[in-house]
Amino acid sequence: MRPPRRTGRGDPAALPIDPADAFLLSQIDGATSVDELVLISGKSAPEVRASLDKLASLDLIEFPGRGEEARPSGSPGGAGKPASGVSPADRHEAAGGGARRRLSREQMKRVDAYLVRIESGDFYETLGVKPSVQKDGIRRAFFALSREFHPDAYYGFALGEYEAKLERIFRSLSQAYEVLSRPARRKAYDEYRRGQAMLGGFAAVEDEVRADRQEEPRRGTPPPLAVSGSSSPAGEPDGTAVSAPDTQTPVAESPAPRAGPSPSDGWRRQRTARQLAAVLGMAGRKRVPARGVEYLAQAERSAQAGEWGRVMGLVEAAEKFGVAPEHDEVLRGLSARARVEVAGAYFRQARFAEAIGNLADATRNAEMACKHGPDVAPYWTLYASLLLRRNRDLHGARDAAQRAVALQPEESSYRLLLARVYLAAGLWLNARRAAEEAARLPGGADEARRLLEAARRGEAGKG
Amino acid sequence: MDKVIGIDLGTTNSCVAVMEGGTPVVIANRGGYKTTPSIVAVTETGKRLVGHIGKRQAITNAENTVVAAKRLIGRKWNSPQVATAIGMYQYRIVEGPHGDVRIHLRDKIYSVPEISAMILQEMKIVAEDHLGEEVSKAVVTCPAYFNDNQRQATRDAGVIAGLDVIRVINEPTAAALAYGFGRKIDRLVAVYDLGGGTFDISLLEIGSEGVFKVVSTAGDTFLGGEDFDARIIDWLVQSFMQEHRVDLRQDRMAMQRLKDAAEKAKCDLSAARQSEINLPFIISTGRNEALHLQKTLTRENLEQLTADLVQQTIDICAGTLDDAGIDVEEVEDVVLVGGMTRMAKVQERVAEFFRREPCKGVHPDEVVALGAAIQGFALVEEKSPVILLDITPHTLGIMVVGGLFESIITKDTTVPTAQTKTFTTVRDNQTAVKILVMQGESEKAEGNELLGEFILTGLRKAPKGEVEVDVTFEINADGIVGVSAKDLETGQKQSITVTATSGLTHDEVRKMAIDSKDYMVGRKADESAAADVQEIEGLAAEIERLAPQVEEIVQGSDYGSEALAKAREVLAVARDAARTGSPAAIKDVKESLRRTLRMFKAVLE
Repeated sequence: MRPPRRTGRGDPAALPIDPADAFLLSQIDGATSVDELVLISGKSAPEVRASLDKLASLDLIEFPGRGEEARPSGSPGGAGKPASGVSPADRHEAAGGGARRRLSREQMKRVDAYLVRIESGDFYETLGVKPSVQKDGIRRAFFALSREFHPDAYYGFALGEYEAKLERIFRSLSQAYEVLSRPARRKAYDEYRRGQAMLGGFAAVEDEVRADRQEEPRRGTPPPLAVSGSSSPAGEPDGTAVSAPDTQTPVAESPAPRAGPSPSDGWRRQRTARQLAAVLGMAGRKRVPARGVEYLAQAERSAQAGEWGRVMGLVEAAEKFGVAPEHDEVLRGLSARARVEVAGAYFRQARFAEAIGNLADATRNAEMACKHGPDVAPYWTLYASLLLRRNRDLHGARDAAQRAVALQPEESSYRLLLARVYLAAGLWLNARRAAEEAARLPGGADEARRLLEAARRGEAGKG
Repeated sequence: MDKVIGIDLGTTNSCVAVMEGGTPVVIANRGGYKTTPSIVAVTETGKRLVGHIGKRQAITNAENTVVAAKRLIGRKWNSPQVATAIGMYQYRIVEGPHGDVRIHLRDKIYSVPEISAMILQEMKIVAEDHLGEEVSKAVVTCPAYFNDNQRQATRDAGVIAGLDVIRVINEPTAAALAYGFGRKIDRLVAVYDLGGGTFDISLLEIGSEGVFKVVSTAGDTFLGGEDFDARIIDWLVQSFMQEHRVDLRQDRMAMQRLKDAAEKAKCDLSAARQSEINLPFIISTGRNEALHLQKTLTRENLEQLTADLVQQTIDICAGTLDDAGIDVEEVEDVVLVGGMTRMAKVQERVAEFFRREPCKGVHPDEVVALGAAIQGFALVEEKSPVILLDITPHTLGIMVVGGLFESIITKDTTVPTAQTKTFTTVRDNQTAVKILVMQGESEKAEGNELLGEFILTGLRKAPKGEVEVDVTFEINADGIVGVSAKDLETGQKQSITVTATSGLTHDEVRKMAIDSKDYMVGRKADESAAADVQEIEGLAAEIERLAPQVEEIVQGSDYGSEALAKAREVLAVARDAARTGSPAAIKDVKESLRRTLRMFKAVLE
C-alpha cells in the first residue's frame, strides 16, 4: 500500500472528526507510510487504520494507486552496496599497523635550524622579517611558517621528540605574530626594542670594562676601573627565582639587536659579572682621575648621539675613577640626565613586559627603573604592584609602596596600593590605617571601603 | 587511506559530509534529506527511532523523545541552563551519579553522550550507505563557545558511537574553512552562526596560503532557534488563554503540535510576510467538544517577540570585535551559518552592524559539515591543503587563595600554547598545594567550570610565601589540556592531562561503547532480515503473477502438476517464514523461491 495523501478537499474544521483524527491528518503528507503513522501517532495499527478509513470516507485523504503496483523498494539515497564484513576495529588495526610516516632528514634539519633562530627571542627575527616590514608582510611570513611548522602539518607522523620541537617553534611564531600584528602592541614592542638597544649599550660598556679586567693580571698593572655589580642590568642576579617560561619567552632573554650579538651572551654576562664584581670591588676605591676624564669624554660623545645606555655605563665608570674638580659639574649633570633616560627606558620595558604578561621581566625592569631613576612615585608604584601581583617579596613591595606614598602623599591610589600590600601580608592594622587615610583623599573612597571591609574580616578571622 | 567524514552534530539538525575528488560533498540520508533531525526516541516496544521518524512521532511520545540533547551535553545538573531545559522540554531530565545530567526514557536511563552517540551513529550509517564501506574516522564540530567539559562529552559521544573522532573543531571555524577552501583569498571574515541551540561569532583571517587563523571568538551556548520557537509558543499559549480561558500547557500533545507549528511559522516567515497557524482540534474540552487554534503571525509580530534575542547576538558581536581590537570596518566579509540566519530580521541586523551585506555563497545548514570534512581530509592527507590555527575560547587558570580565579592561558590564545605562572604557599608550613584547574571568565573561581584537580605534595616546611611552585598549562593541537606543577626548590613535579569531566567515567564510556556496538549488530541483523522479507514478498508476488501462465502450459502433464503443487507449497512456507521472521527459515525459503522462479521462467520460454 502506498502512503496516503491529502485530497485538499473539504474543511476539516467543519467535519465530524476528533483531535486524534485531526492529528493524524496533520501528519499525512504523501510520503509517510501507514506503518510510520502508527509509530508517530502512538496508537495501535487497527485504530490508525480505522481513523484513516474515516478520513478517507470524508474525502480528506486518499490512497493513491491502491493495489496497482508493488511498493517501491530500496533506499533512494543509498548506493546499496553491501557493507564489508570487516569490523571497524579490524580496519583500524590494519591502518594503524602500517608504518607511520616520519620526517625526512631535511625536514628535521630545518626544524632544528629554526629552533636556533627563535632562540634570539627577537620577534622580527623569529618571523624572519625586517623591522621595517609592513603589516601584510608580517602575516605572509607567519602564515607561510605556520604551514611549515604547525604540528597539524605532520598529523599522523611518528614525530618523536620533534613533536615538542614543532610545538615550541609554533608557539614562538604565534607569540611574535600576536604582538607584531596589532599596531598598538607592535608600537610598544618597537619602543621596547629600542630600549633594549639603549640598555644594551649600558651592558656593552660593562663588557668592555670586563675585557679590560680580564687582561689585568697578565699586564700586571692596577685595574683601570671597576663597576659595581649592582649597576649592571644584566649582571644583577635576580633575587627572585625566574620562572621557567620567563626564561623561554623572548623578552626576558632578548639581547639588544645591535649590542648583543649572540643569544647565549646574556646568561654568560650575568655569571661573569657576578664573579668579577667580587674581584673588582677592591680596585673600585682607587681614584684614577685621568681615566675618569677619559670615560667622561666618551660619555659626552655618546650623549650627543643619544646613546643614553652607553652614557650611563661610562658615567658610572667615570664616577668610580673620579674626575678632577673642574669636571665635577659636567659629570653630575650628565649622570643625572643619563639616569632619567635609562630609568625611563626601564620603566617602558616594564610596562611592555607587563602588557604581554611577562611579569617576572616586568618586575626586574621596574626594579631597575627605581634603582637608577629619578625618585618618582610612578616607578615605585609599578614596582610595588608587580611584586604584589606576583605575591612575592612583600617587604620590597611595602617599601616601594611606602616610598610612593611619601613622594605623593595626596594621591589616594598609592595609599590604596599600600593597603593592598598590607592585606596580602596579613598586617590588618596597617592595612586599615592605610585604607582609612586613602578614604580621606579624593577618588579613593569606594575602593578604600572594600579594603577596610577586607581588613576587618581579616582581623576577625585572626581573632 | 581511510575516508574521514565530517559531522555537524547540531542542536536541532545534524549533517554529514565527506571529501570526494578534492571537493567536500554533503551526504543525503535514506529519505533523501541532507540534514537529519537530532532527535532520538524510544517507542513503547523499546524500538529506537532517530532522525525524521523520531521527530514525527514526538507529538504522541514527547516524554520519550529527546530533542536538543546538545543543550544538555557536558553540563552539570545544578547549572541554570539545565533548569531552563527542564522547563522547556517534555522528556524526563534526571540527575546522574556524578552530578551530571541523564535522561529517563521508558525503563532506562541514558547519559547525554549516549543520546548524542545515537545521532552520530545515524550519521555514520548515512555515510556508510553512501560510501559503501565502513567508516571509522570522523571530525565532529561543536560550538566555538563550548567549554572543555562539553567538548569532552562530545568526544565521548563519538567513542560510544564507535567513531574515532580525530578532532573536534569549532562550528564557525568549520564554516570558514568551507567558505575559503580552494579560493585563494586573503580576507578577514566574521562568521555569525545562529543555530538551533547556540550562538557563536568568530573572526578569522584567511590567507591564500591555505591558512585559516581564528582571531577571536565569543558566543552563548544557550541561545538559538529553540528560544525563538519558545517565544512563539508563549505567544500562542497566551493568546489562546485570553480567547478560550484554556491553558494549552496542560496538554502535552497540544504543546508538541504548538512546537511544530511555531517552528513551521518561523520558517515560513523567512519568505512570507505572514503565516497562518491553523491547528484544528488542538484541545478537547470534554463533552465531545473541541477547540481550534487559529492565529496569524506576521513578520512584525515575530520580530517584536524576539527582538531582544537578536540584540543579544549583536551585543556579543560588538564585544568580540572589541576584545580583538578590530574595527568593524576591517571585516571584509560576513558569513551566515545556521538555520536561524534565514530570518530576515537577523540578516538585517547583521548587515547593519557589520555595515555590509552578508555573503550569500554558503548554505547555512550544510557549510559546517563541509568544513569538518575538509579538516578531516587536511589532517590525514600527506600534503595538507589547509592549516587551521584555532584558539582556546575560554580562559584557563587555577583557583587561588580567597576563592579567586587566576588566569594562566587567556582566551583567544592560538593553540598549541604553553604558559607558566609562579605561585607561593599561603600558610606557614604548608607541605602540599591543591591545584584546581578551571575554565571561564569570572574572577571568582566558583563562577567558572572545574576541569580537574590534583595535589602537589612534599613541599618544604617554611613560612608562608617562601616556597614557590611553578604551574604550567599546555594545550596541544588536539585541544587537550595538560597541567603540571613544579616545586622550584626540589624540582619535584606533578602533572595531569585534563580529561575534562564530561560527566562519564572512562569505564562508563567503554561500557556504553560496547552496548552501542551490540545494538548496531542487532540492528544490522534486523535490517538484513527486513530486506530478506521484502525480497521474499517480491519473489512470491512474481511467482503468483506467473503461476496462471505456467499452469496453462504445463497443464495435463504429471510432471507439471507436481511442479505446480511444489511451487504452491514453497509459497506457503515462504509466507510463514516472512510472518515469523526467523532468519534461518527466511534464508532457506529465499533460495527455494529463487529456484521456483527460475523454473517458471524456463517453462515460459
